[in-house]
This record gives sequence, C-alpha cells and structure tokens, in this order.
Amino acid sequence: MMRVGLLTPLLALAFVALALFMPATAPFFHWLFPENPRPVFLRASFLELTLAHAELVLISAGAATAFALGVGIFVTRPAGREFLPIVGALAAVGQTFPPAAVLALAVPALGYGEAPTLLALFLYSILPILEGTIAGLHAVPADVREAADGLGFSSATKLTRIELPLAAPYILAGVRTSTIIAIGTATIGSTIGALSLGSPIVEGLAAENTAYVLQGALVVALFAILVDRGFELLERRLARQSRSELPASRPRRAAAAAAP
Amino acid sequence: MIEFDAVEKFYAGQRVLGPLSLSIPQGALCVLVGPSGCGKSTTLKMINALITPDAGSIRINAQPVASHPAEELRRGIGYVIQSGGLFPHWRVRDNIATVPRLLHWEKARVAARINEVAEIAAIHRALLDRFPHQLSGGQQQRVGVARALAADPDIILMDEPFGALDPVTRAALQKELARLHHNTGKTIVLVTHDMDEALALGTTIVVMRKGEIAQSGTPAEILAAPRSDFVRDFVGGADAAMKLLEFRKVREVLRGGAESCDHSIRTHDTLRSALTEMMTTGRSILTVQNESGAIVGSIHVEDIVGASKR
Repeated sequence: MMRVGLLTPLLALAFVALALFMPATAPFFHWLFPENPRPVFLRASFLELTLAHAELVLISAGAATAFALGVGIFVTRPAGREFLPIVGALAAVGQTFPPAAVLALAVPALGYGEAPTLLALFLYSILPILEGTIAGLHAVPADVREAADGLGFSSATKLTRIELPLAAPYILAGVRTSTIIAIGTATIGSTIGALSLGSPIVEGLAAENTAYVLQGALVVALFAILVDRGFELLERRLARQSRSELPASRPRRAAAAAAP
Repeated sequence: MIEFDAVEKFYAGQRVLGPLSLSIPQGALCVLVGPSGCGKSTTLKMINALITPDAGSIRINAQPVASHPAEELRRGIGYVIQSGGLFPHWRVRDNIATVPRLLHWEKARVAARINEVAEIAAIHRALLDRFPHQLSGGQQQRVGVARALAADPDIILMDEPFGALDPVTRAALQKELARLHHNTGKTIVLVTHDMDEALALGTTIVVMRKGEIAQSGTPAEILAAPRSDFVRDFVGGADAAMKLLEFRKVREVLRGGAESCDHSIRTHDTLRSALTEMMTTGRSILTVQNESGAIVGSIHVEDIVGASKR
C-alpha cells in the first residue's frame, strides 16, 4: 500500500512536468546525445501532443464502449442470443487485424489524419469491452436473475438495476484494457499525420533522432501507467461499494485514505 | 384459491408435466413434494408465470394467470428461492424493499414496511445495513422471506426454501414459517423433496411423480392411506405409522368412563405424545383430561396401536 501510495503521485508529477516543461530537459538529452544538434522535439509542445493523444483515446474508447456495451447487451438478450457466436467471432477477427493494416486500409477512404486513426483505435478497442460485457452479464448468478424475474422486474429494470451493476467490474476491466491498448496504439496514428505523442517517435525514427523517440515513448508510457492506476482505483471503489463494505474494514479504509 | 385445470407442459415433444388438475384453497399451506424431476418446481413456477403451460389453464381467484401482464402478476405474489437469490450489490434493507419500490410506494411507507417485515421475519435491525454476503445462510433465507412478504402479497411461492440450510437452522425456519402462516393466513405454496418437511409444514400435501399427482390430501390422509406403493415408500414405509401418530389427537381414540390412573394427558395432545408418555411412565393406560382439566376418560395403548394402522 505504501509503495503504491508514493509511486503514483511521483509518476503523475513526472508526467505533468515532462508534458509542460520538456524543453527544460535539453541539457540532459544533449549530454545523452552530444552529436545531436536538436535534442528536444519542438515542432509541437508536449502539452499539445498529450492533449491530442488523450482526445484520440477518449473519443475512440468512448465510442467503442458505447458500441460494445450495446452489442454485448443485445447478444445476451433472448432476442439476440443467436448472434452471440457470430459477434464473438467477428470481434476476435477484428482484434487479429494489425492496427497498421487498418490504418493503411482506412487512409484511401478517410484520408490522412485523425479520422482513420480514430477508426483503427475504435475497431481495436471493441473486443475487450465486448468480451467484458458478455462475460459480466453471463456471470450474473442464475438465482439472482430468477429472483429478479420472480419478483416482477421488467427486463429493462432488471438490466439497469441488477445485471449491469453486477457486470460492472467485468465491463470496467474491458474498458481498462482497451484504453491502455489505445494509448499505446494511438502513437501509430502519427504515421498517417494525426498529431499524438507518437509524433516525436515517428519523426525521431525517420530522422534517426533517438532523443525524440525516447521523449515520446517516455510520456506515452507515463500516460498509460497513470491511466491504468486510475482504472485500478475505480475498480477498487466499485468492488468496495458492493462486496467488501464490512464494518470492520472502515477504520482501515480511513487510514488508507489518510496515507497519501 | 389457485386452480390448475388440465395443465400440461412439453419439452422437446415429450410431455413432462400433466395433465394436472389441482386446486389450492385460500389460506392453505400447500406442499408440493416429490423426487427430483417430478415437475413440482415447474408446477410452482407456472403460478407466477415464470413458466407458461402448453395446455390447460391456471387461475388465481378465478382470474386466469395468462390474462395479466406477467410482471404485474409477479409483483403481487411473493417468491422465495432455495439459495435466497438476494441481490448481492444491495444492502439487506434494499433487498427487502425490492417489490415496494417496483410498485413505486412512497419513501416513508417503504421505510416503515422494511422495519415491519424485518420484525416478522425475525431479522435483527443491525443486519439491515449489511450486504447479503455478510449474512449466514439462515439469515439470508430470512431476508429472502422478508423480501417476499414486503408488498404484503396474498400468495407466497417458495421453491425449496430451506434446502440449502443446515438441519438446525432449517428446523428453526420451518417452525417460523408455520407460525407466520398461522398468523397471516396467507396462501403458501412450497416445493420440497423432503417428505418430513412436507409433513411438518403442510396443511395440504401434493405428492408428485413423473409430472403427475400421485396423491394429494392432508398429511394424516396421506400417511393413513397411501394410494400407491410409491407414495407408501415416499412417506417413509413402515415409519409412516409413527409419523401418523403426530397427526392424530388423543380425543379420537378416547374411551369413556374414568379409569383411575396417576398419569394423565389432555384431549388435544397428539397420540405420539400419549405414546411417549406411556413409554416414559411404563403405563399402558392414561387418564385423559379436557382443556379445563376435568377427567373425561382414558386412553389405552392398544387403541393407539390401532389408530396407527389407520
């Protein structure tokens, strides 16, 4: 607990500092790469890159969550149950497509820039959330479902009050996986002109400027780790709400909350 | 009054239930009992339309079950299942409030009702703010019963409600259910595979086998005159005679004329307690007193033996 309590704020601090003050690291990268005449990526500020990157991830993960939730709910209803195998297979195939191939295929249709990147990220993000949704809805105990039916829940009320809340940890785990993958994958969007934290990486690779690659990779990695930590906290809060609200654990929780 | 009229159910072309006709009077505690797969749960679930019959009809107070929207019907019928089926993400209080909230009761009324049924089902107030996983099996089942009672339905369906409990808890809850039935006069339909549970609780017992009714009647009727070998075996074979004594009263085999004896028993005691009294005192004749303590006759061991044969 202590380790987590200290590490996360430190990483967050490093992330914010690098995003805001990357140019200040010039002496360090100059020392690391003495031959390099331009040791820091300056075409866009890292704040701008981070915000653009976050936007790509937010939009694609958001859309994928809405889509996967809808499909996942549909194929677990009596009306859509026959589509379950097909949908599962389709989503799995979508996942085996390399994102670079999706980009290459999307560019002729959507042009360069953000649109094809969003499409690739969207397609790529669906499977984990879909799987989480289906697994979560299937994990609702049969007796709980039977009780809900027997007590007179309508199917919509049963879904929103019973099934989705109970499936929430599974769904959230799917969203977490998708988002983390999307944060890494969004960098590839820079190969077709989308602005992201991949821009210094792509440019650095093209110009053989390892410093740029390091800078981009460092900020992306910190970003991914922090978002992952955020999801973990969210998952814990969710678990606490329903499962472990033991009166005995209250003081301990208060202590944990006071620790950071 | 719940009536089944020539009800049938088919699975994959095979008839698994019926044709079944049955009527459960208002205020009865009707126990559907039989081995696994005899159709007792299917029968129960047809009453609240969780399963729909393929032929025949079911009426509650002369209203066909199928004429109501299923959800509305179910909100008016209490339902208890074996494992409790409590909603794990809701506190006990919210579990109990399920049906009143589905019926959009006012907040204050719901809150008052939670306390009321918690008391009826003997749930300690401190448990109301716990989550189901923090309760013992017996406590969970109490909550299940309280949840079924919450909206004060006239009919309560119970599907193996005590099947997952240890014998001590089970006996305690059976006793409470009998008391609850006695106090509220609700119509209760209970499914079990345990004949002793059926005998202990039922005012009416329906013995089922292979989708059909093997015999129905009061516990005493079924013990005294099993209609087939299956029923005879199911009610406990030779042991049925002992069980029957539980349902017979001293007054049924009372002999007139006061034979003096220093041990006595009352007219409304069961023959089983009379026999126990004889065994512990070593007497074969006991004096019988009525409720007010006056001696009204005697009871002889040979009459008890005779009564156990029917």
